[in-house]
Amino acid sequence: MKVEGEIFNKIIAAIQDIGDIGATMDEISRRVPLERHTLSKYLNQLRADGRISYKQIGRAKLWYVSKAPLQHIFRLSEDEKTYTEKIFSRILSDMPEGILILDFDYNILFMNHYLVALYGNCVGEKFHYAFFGSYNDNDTSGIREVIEGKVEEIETQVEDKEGRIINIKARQVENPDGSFSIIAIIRDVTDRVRNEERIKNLSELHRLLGESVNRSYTIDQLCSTILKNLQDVIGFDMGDILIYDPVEETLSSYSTREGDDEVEDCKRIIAREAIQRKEPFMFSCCSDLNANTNTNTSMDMDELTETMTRMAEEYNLQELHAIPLKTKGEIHGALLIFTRQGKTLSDADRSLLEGISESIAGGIAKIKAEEEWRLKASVIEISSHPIFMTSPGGKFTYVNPAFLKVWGYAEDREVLGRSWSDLWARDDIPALVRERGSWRGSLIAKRRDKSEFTTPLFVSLIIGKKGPLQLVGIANSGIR
Amino acid sequence: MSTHTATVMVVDDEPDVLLSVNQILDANNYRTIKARDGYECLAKLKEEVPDVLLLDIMMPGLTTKELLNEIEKDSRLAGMKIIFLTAIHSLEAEEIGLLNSKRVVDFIEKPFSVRRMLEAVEKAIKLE
Repeated sequence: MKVEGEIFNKIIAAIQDIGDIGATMDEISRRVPLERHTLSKYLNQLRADGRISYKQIGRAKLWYVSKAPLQHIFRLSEDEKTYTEKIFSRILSDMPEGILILDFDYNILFMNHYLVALYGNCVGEKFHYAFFGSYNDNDTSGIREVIEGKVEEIETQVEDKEGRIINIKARQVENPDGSFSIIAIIRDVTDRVRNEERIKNLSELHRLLGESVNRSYTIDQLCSTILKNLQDVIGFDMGDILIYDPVEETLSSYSTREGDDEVEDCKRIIAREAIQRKEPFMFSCCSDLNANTNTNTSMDMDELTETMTRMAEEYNLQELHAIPLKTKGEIHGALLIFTRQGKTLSDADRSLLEGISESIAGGIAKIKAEEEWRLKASVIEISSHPIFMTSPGGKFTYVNPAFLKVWGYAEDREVLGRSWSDLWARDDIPALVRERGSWRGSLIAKRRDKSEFTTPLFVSLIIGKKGPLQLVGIANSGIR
Repeated sequence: MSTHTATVMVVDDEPDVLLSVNQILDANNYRTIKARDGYECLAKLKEEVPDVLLLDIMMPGLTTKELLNEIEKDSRLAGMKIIFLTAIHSLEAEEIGLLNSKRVVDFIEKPFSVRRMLEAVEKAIKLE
């Protein structure tokens, strides 16, 4: 093997000595003293390795050192290729991944069918222009670092001139003459990356929705957070959540982009229609009002269409989607999503919007319920009547400020957890309430300082999903 | 203490709710009938017609909607009043058509105070 290697090197040196004009068999044999058929065998082995090539001039063959054997294969016509070269070039051409070969000056020497389908035939063009539309070789693909020898191999993901995400894996391939080429494997990973981003954004959206249920979000915070994340997932142009107040019959708006008064009025008209219908509907500027147009419409169809057309023209919109925010039969408002010209929502996006709208409605319902509860709780807090709750067994779980004041305690933690009999003279009341459901009468109460007083008392049992929950009592503030 | 002769049937799949509500109605001088699901309710309605049906929503077996349909078909039950005693929201019940029947006279959401339930039962009986 060592001897063969030395012979190969001598043959290549001999061909290089002759220069760019090419070397005949006789010229080579003068420098490498081998018999003609032995030399021919070595020449063919070197050619099979891609290290040398020849041109047929008449009956003579002129031998050259291959500067770039890889691309040399693709330059040969089918007739000129050996069987191995044919197989190899077909595999590369038809691979389901892009194969790109560049020289040291970014010139594209070869691109296979996969890349031709994406970029057209760009052989002879500069890589950064063909792929990134830039004349500047300061590309972000990292290939420069390979060309400059800073790294042996790179793998990177970049956006091309068409907005596709391409994955590039490139490395140097050394040529027999000491020069090098760059061979790169390129894949269009746009769908995969977009899907990954979508899944990531969806996960984030669901996390935020879950968080909004567990954390004390205001409706304002909930809406702005959801809209922002929804925009990342769907990529709409403008989104609004309009919250309906059934008492005042008003709509308050949370928007990614606020318009002037007229536009905001249009949004309210569309939102009211969605609330009235209790079903989603959409308007496409290319078609007409879609779905559920014949039932439960609250307004004249021409007026609604006119409103939506006005909105579409004002903002150069393609689609308007209106989805009622409904949960447990209650409508809390509407989600409006607008896409700009040229952008339409997929069926998956629409399904997502409908699913998310119920989660948003659930979040809003929870926040409203909490606000309502806090309001009601404040009534109990400011009541002058002592109000308390105990477990069904009679352990105190809540007392209001009036209770603390009348019983002479400073803080509720002094009372919570104590037994019924610590604060009342009769200890059979909890059992009576559990049995009869409620109890009303006068009872002697025991203050912190051991003094006693008599007060009218009403106690009722509260029953929950699983059975008795609490006893709730209200005494009289008038101390006798 | 008032003396009732009215009969109330309580239908709930939660044993503690069923026990507690029946015990309280008994203590307040109502005659009570217990049923743990829709099938048992229908079976017992064939034997006796109560004045008021305290009915849970979302029980295993027969759905509340199916149970209501069966009740609607039975002319013997025309005078029976129904009060829902449930953890679901009234709007949700309305949406699935549970509040359409004229027999349904009240809707009590859990958790509820017993006082509220007793007032509803008394009011339903007076409607007769």
